[in-house]
Amino acid sequence: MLTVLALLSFSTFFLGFAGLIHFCEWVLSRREVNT
Amino acid sequence: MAGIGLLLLFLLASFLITVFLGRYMAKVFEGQPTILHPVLHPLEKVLLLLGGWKPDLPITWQQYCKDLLWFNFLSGLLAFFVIRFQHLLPLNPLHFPGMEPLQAFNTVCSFVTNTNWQSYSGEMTLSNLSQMLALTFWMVIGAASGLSVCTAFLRGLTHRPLGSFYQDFTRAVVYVFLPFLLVSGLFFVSQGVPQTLTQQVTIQTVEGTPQKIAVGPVASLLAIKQLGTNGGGFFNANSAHPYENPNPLTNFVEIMLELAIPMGLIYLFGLWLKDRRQSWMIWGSMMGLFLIFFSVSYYFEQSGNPMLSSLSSVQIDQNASLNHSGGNIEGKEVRFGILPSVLFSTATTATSTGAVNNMHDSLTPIAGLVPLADMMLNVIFGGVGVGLMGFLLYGIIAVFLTGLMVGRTPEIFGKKIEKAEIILASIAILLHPLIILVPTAIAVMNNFGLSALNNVGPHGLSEILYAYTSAAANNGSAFAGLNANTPWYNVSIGIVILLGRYPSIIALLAIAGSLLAKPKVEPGPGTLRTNTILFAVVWVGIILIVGALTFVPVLMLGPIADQLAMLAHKTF
Repeated sequence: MLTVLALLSFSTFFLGFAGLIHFCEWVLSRREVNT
Repeated sequence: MAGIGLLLLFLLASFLITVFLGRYMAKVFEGQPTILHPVLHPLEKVLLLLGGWKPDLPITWQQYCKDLLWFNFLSGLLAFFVIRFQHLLPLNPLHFPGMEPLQAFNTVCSFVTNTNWQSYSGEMTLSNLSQMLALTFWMVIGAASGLSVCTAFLRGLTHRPLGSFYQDFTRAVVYVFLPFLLVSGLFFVSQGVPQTLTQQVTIQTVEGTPQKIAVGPVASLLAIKQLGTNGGGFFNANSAHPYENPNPLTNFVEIMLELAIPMGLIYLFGLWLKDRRQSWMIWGSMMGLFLIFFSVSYYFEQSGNPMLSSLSSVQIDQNASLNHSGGNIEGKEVRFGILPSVLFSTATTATSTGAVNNMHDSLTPIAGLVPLADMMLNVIFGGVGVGLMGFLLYGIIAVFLTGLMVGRTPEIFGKKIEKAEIILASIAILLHPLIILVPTAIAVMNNFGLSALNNVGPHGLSEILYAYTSAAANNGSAFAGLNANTPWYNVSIGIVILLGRYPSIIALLAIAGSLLAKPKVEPGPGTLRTNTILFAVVWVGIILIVGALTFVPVLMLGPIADQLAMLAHKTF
């Protein structure tokens, strides 16, 4: 059970990091809108 | 005199390594032929072919990040299965059981991210297969990933396409790590470091009793442990173990290996920027900080323990003489003495290596503050790739702030800095203290954090603070005195390690991608030059101010209070 939980946690963090790429894209795109 | 000679040799070796390795890596990551090209180029082609990776395909920063994440994620999964189920796999002559799931989570997070924090004794927990496949191999992957990301970031700052992650990764492994690991591994073997698949040998001691001694493939792990600024040891005692650091020569080589790539990258940056003065400005700033931190640590260690000096009943000689090094020798190897031990501890925490040749918990409190401060700033040479990236990140903030102060356009390396870059840079900078201070606060307020401590008071706080600082800086060294193999510490440190690695890399690559997309601005009368001594002072000043404002309160409660208490003859 803990093994599955550990694997799921590891995977979730990497999914979160992939989401962070889109957050950074959003931050950069806001600059283009403003200018 | 010997100490001054060692320091001069250290500076000379640092200078030579910076220039030669910088030139070599600049050629490697530009795809230009080097002296090793005829031998290694076919291997590079085979690896790219096997991976199905298309070379020389310029991609966006988003794709670069995704490739990095996918590669590290899949590598991590494989490492997890190897150490979790090592009892079902070969090369386990001592029949070690599989690692506990939460400890395996912590270990995988640690090794994939080039941290190499260990909450276990390697020689008592891991099979030979786990040591080689899950640790040594992933040490190369973690370090090569960091080196690749840094080259992409530097390309973004020097007006070049970011390149391809898989191409950079393959070049890093084939041209940088493979040859240097082979040479340094053989050197360590020549000095007596074991390299064998035998896991234990039995010898007869002089008293006539049998003794079992752990051995294994140590030299190969030691080479990447140092060169890749990884730090995870084969033995629990790490580089204090005579099989992992046999003599003063290996000690010096280990120090230089961990500094080699971070230093070389600074010179590579100057070559790509066509401004070597900029390189030397950065190198000088980092070396200046390094020597200041080293001097503070050395002074307090050589001064010895004031509580021992004040004992009237026992005569303890702490003064250096021809017979011994004097000073605070607790937790140090007598064969190294004070200066090589302090130089090692400063280098290993400045470069986010995490190997140790002396026990940091036994340093006098202010000398123990130095490794902490090294990791809190995390920009003095730093880990493979990420250290220079962190330093340049502060450069972006420095340009922005000085631009505001003197009314000049914020520009760095020919690119304008705007709001979006500052937001991303601020996120990367602020995340670091956040992931250190918040879990430290949670740990000191709860029994699950405090029950793992061997010491109380300020020293106990330093032990917990050190653990999270080491994790956030992807350093991996431990202060000792803390039993980190508990569910809380395994999980929380694993999470801090992940958060200390990827968010800042993603933000920095986003900045690089953003700067690359902007037109180059030629220097004009309004441009603030970044390669001057004046700007170096501002740059370093901002690093120290941000670091001091963030961390001085907790340092006051930890090592500084510990030092003052020790002067008042109270220990914890």
